[in-house]
Amino acid sequence: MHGVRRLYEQADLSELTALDDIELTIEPGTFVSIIGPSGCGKSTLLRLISGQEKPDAGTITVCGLTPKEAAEAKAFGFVPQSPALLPWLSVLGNVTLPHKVNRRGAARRRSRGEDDRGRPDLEAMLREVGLGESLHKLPAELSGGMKQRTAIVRAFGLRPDVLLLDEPFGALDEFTREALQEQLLELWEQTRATVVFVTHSISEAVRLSDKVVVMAPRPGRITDVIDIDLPRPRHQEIITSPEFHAYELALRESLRDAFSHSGVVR
Amino acid sequence: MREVLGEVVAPAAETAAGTAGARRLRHRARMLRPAYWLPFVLLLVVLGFGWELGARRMPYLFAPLGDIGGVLTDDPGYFLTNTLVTLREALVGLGIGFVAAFALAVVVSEIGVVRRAVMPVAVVLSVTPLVAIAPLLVVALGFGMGPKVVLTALVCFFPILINVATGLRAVPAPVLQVYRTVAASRLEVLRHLRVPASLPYVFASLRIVFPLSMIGAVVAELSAAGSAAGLGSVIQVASSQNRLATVWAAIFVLAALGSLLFWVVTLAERRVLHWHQS
Repeated sequence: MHGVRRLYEQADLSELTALDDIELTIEPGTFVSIIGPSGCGKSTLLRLISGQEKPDAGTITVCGLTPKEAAEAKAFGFVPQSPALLPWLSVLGNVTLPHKVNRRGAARRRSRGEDDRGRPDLEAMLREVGLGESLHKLPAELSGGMKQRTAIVRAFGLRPDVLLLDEPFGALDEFTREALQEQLLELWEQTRATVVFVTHSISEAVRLSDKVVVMAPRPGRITDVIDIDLPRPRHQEIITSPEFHAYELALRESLRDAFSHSGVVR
Repeated sequence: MREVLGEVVAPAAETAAGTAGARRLRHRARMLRPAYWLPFVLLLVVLGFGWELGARRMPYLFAPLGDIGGVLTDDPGYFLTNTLVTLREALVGLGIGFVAAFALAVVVSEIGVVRRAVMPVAVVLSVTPLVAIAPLLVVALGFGMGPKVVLTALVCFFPILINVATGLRAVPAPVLQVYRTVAASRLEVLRHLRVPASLPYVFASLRIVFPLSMIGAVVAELSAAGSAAGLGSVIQVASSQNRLATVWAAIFVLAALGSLLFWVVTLAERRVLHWHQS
């Protein structure tokens, strides 16, 4: 990886200012959550980082590259809120397909001598998250949690430098959600990719992150950054610890401030 | 209709390869029960009686079933040759129409300017009874296979274009975002995402267009007085000579042929779209 990753953004999108004066540096290999009410531009931020949209002002740098260059070099993995699997491909097929597109990007990454990670053992990764029995099943035969696990392996399997997750557990029930958080952390410990994780859930943000970025809407902006200094690995039990509660409270407080400043009446 | 063709609507959970065979067996067993086939057979009997009655009351409209069957068995070669002629016209026209429509659908789905220009015209033309230009085509292209193929291709073109253009754009936004994040090229998106996603729409259009192709071919034959061959020509010649049994025999053959084509599409669809829950 190329030294410190800097994400510095000043985006002024159209008439409606989706994001304004965003300034954010994310250290390589850290897990950063972005939390905030709907409409504060969290998803826009992800699209800017991955180069799908261009900022109207300001610059974004990913590993010393522009977002577009980084995407072309296959530096990103993306997990959307819906699993977004292809219904005609098996679990294994869905996880493999991203490796079959943009081969030049993967080759370029290797030729730069950045790393020679190649394609990891995707079947082993799927078995690890409990999908060993379902390798050749179609998405229609899977539960919601299994689908989302497939989507996560699809992203991790790329061995990306930066992993972008847009409320990946938003549509899941509480139990599945916690199990998947655990698996996400396990996968992350192995790869140590930089993670940008968009969420609505306070406890999810505290449990997973090194750093939580609090955002407020109209215009979308960062109002607070909270460092979460809890030991890793963080297992299920940590949720009930007093330190965890303290962070939850602090984050809740910060979010309330974000609301009151933006003049949102609830 | 669906039941007659032996189609089962399977619950999504049962799509695993292992259960497919069992499902088919269960389905076979069900088809043997009288409750399954009796209603259809009864209706056929009633229709047959009605037909015979009609043949007696209106001898200029109906021919007795026995005569029709007689015509068919007297010279099956005659009907077979003409059926093959019509079938060839229909399928060649359909093939040309399909390739052209699919190609244009790809262009239309990739280039917004072309889409905005072409699609409104396509929608208008798809609801226009294009068979009406058959006489013009005969004048322009003569009595050979030309006008039949052109008319069939034209008739099939627009339904396919509209369906496939819709299908190619039926990839959900999050899926596109996943693959754009890894910088998949437009060609890769087309090949791996858009074309497979369009297959249900392709088959929907084929179900429409296979019967249409028969209509196109037959109408073109009917319009070309003096065409040497084809079931449409058979009907034309026989009705001018008041050979009603031959006319009806040709129509029955057309109906059977249409059903056969529809059945083939359904079968192919079930093969290809095993992942799709319709």
